[in-house]
Amino acid sequence: MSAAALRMRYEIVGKVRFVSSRDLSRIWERTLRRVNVPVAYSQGFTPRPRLSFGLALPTCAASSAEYVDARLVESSEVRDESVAQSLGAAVDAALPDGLAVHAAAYVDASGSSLQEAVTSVTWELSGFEQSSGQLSACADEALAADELPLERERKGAVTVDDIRPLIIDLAVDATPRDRSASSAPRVTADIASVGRSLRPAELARAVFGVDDAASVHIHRVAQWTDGPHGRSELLPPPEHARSMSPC
Amino acid sequence: MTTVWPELEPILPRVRKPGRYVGGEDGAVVAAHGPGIVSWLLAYPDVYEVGLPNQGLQILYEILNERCDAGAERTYAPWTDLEAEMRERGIPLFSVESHRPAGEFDVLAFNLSSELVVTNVVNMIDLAGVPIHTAARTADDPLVLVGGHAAFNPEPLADFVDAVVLGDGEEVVGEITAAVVAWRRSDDHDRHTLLRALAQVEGVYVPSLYDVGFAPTEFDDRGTPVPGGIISLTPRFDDVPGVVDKRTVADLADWPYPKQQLQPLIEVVHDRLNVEVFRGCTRGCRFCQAGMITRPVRERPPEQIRTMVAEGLRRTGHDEVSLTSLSTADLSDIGPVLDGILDDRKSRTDGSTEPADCGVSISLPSLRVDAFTVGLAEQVTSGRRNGLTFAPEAGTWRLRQVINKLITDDDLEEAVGAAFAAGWRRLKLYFLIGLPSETDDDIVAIADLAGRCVDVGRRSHDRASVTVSVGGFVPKAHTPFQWFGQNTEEELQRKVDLLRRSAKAHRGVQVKWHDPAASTAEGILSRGDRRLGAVIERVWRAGGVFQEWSEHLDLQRWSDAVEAEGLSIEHLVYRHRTASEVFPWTHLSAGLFHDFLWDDWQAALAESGLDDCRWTHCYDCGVCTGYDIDHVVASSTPPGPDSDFSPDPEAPVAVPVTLVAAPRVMRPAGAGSS
Repeated sequence: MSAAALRMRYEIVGKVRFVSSRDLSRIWERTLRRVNVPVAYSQGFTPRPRLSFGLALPTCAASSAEYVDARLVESSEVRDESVAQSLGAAVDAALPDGLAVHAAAYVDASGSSLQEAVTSVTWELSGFEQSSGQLSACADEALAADELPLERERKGAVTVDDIRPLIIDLAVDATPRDRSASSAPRVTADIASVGRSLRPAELARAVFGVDDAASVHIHRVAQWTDGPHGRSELLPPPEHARSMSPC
Repeated sequence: MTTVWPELEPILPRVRKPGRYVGGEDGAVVAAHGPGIVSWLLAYPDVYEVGLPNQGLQILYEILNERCDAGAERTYAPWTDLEAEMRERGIPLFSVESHRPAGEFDVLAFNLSSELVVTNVVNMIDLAGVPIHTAARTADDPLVLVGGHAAFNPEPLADFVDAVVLGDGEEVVGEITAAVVAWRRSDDHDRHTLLRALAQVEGVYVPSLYDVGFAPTEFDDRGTPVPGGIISLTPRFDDVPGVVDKRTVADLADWPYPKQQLQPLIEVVHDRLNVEVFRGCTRGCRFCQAGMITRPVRERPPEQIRTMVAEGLRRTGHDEVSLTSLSTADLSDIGPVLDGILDDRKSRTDGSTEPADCGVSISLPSLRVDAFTVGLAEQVTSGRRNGLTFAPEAGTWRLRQVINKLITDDDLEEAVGAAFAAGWRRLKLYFLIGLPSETDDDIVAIADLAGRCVDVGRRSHDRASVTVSVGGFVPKAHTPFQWFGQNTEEELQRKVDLLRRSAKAHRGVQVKWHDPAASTAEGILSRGDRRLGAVIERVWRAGGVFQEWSEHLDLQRWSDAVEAEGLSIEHLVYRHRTASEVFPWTHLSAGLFHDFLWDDWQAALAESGLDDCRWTHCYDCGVCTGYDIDHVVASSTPPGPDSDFSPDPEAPVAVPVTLVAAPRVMRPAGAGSS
């Protein structure tokens, strides 16, 4: 078998979402070592496990669609769907509270990396002070615009970028997600992730006029890849995965 | 149970490193609270990343949570950004496990591992919503305790803490818990009654139960105040002990803690597994407070070390373990212990995927200086040889005899040569400046010594280099140097500058130094008396928190506060003490005889060194005989050819050493945890 990676889709919710992405990758390294996943190591004086993560999630954001690819050592062992799932379950059990593996599959490690594969991301934003009517008006205005210049700073230099091409769709929903009143109204945003991406906090500021970005709750709900039949999620979400398994 | 989490959660996105405040560590316990349970909040007065790895705090955390009459949670100092948000919104200090307000705990216990954290202690008491002064607290307020190495002179904190624990905490926390339970069950809810009861617990000192009398302040020719010394130090009640002795656990084998070292979600300092291999040190370095106050030497049995390492690595997923002690190369059978750990790891990774050379790395902090030690370091590092640190502490053999760090120049050069030959390219050498009897020659000698080490290294590598790291010496309580007048800030700075100039003559020598202002501030507290309470309060009110952090330390705040209280830095820090000095800690005992310390101070001034009593003869420092405990060591000779070891055949041999019979019964690590 050629070089393979174990790809896992996981969620990050609750208190653990306050750790940085760097700390998160350390949590993953230790967890995979604890459950003896046969992860390949880099060469050199300080070999590190070869893990790759996609687009970093902002610290404090939640997600039900995070991904990690763990490059595996070359091996003649059977690598089928059930082995992947049992490894995913073992990793799931060893992760700290707030982190949970929802799907696991072997992928060809010579294929495109997570960073390359993901072409768009769906975010859910809530905690706005505005009413759903006000938010809808902002969304409609943005979608109708030909261009949306956004001033931002990078390495000390101020640049103005047109973010309109990055906004695929915006939808405003007045009903709360789950039963939490603070999650209504909420904005669902489809954002392209090619080139210099648009951060959810930047979206909240540029489109919805939120000055205090720290007050907005951010939740990543999907990461998409383009295929011959349109876009699909990198690994199917848990409901879908369950319905596919024989029972 | 109340929690501040709903108020805290929305402000976390506004502060730096919010992962500091969410807990979630593997090994953390959800403690029970309720009637009949004494709830402890174990507090570390610095940020989470610094405090979390503290082994003392983790040991007590487990021991308390294993008890049915106690529960323990933890808290750390919130960084200034969160503190500002908390004060603005009225959010009190909280535990990281359940985010329970600190004021709802029965005991607020601080780990005091250094002096400069005292303003953080006061700040955290205040953030807890508890009156900062012990005199203002009521029966409803938590009991405020301190313990740890810096608590051996707790007098500067006398206004703020209810009680102080001296020495090892493993046993005494249970006795304090029992005293609180008994007080609660009684009809007498007067806080004073509890304090009186605590004063009866061995190792517990209650500052408010003692009267300290000072001679009146006088003024010198220039009108500068010369504060009076201590003239009386008396218990206020008959049942309060005149001298409080430290606690010492006799055998580490009975205490295989922590069994479940906390594995934090975020990166912390010392981010690895830590296993304490022995406690105490009898090398007798005269500047070293830790070595003096933790006697005697108590080694952990080799098999227990091996189990704790194997179990800890398996449980945490760490790839590095640190074998901690005050001088790890002094562990009996250190070689076989290291072999065992490496064997265990190898058998675990056989057939596994991890490359052999990244299986596990063992770090050995506090290494002594000799070729044997380099051999050990070579044995445990495979592949990466990043840096190796030695601490000769002084530049000349003369001065090393004064401080009793008996390393000859030849020892050092041999060790350094072995290290460079074994593949290290960068060495770090630690030195103290401002030592007793030090001259400029001793300072210049540091640079020369480092230069010779580079020359030795260049025989192996073209780019061998040596970093010299110097810190200003701060005399500490309960050491032979407690009588010594600390160098002034200016003098330390002059010596740093002299060293830097001298080092320029040597290629490959780099100099780093500790800020002399920080040494002066530390000196104010290290031998201060209870008049410093008002000084600490002034510095805290002026915003002086996180004084261990260079960006926060401002010596001017301390000088202003000292002056405002009619005290002087000259008197507190720079003055030599005389034989008749009554120290603020005279009524507190680490077991060391006053005469032993004084004689050792005189021997230092006579440039006379002292061998290690573990392997030679007893100097009757007072600890073993006074507490009827012995060294627990597995060998009567030092491991490896030891430069410090020069048995004197004429010396009287009266060694209070118990040789450990192997094998011994041990509790497996990880058993019996909650």
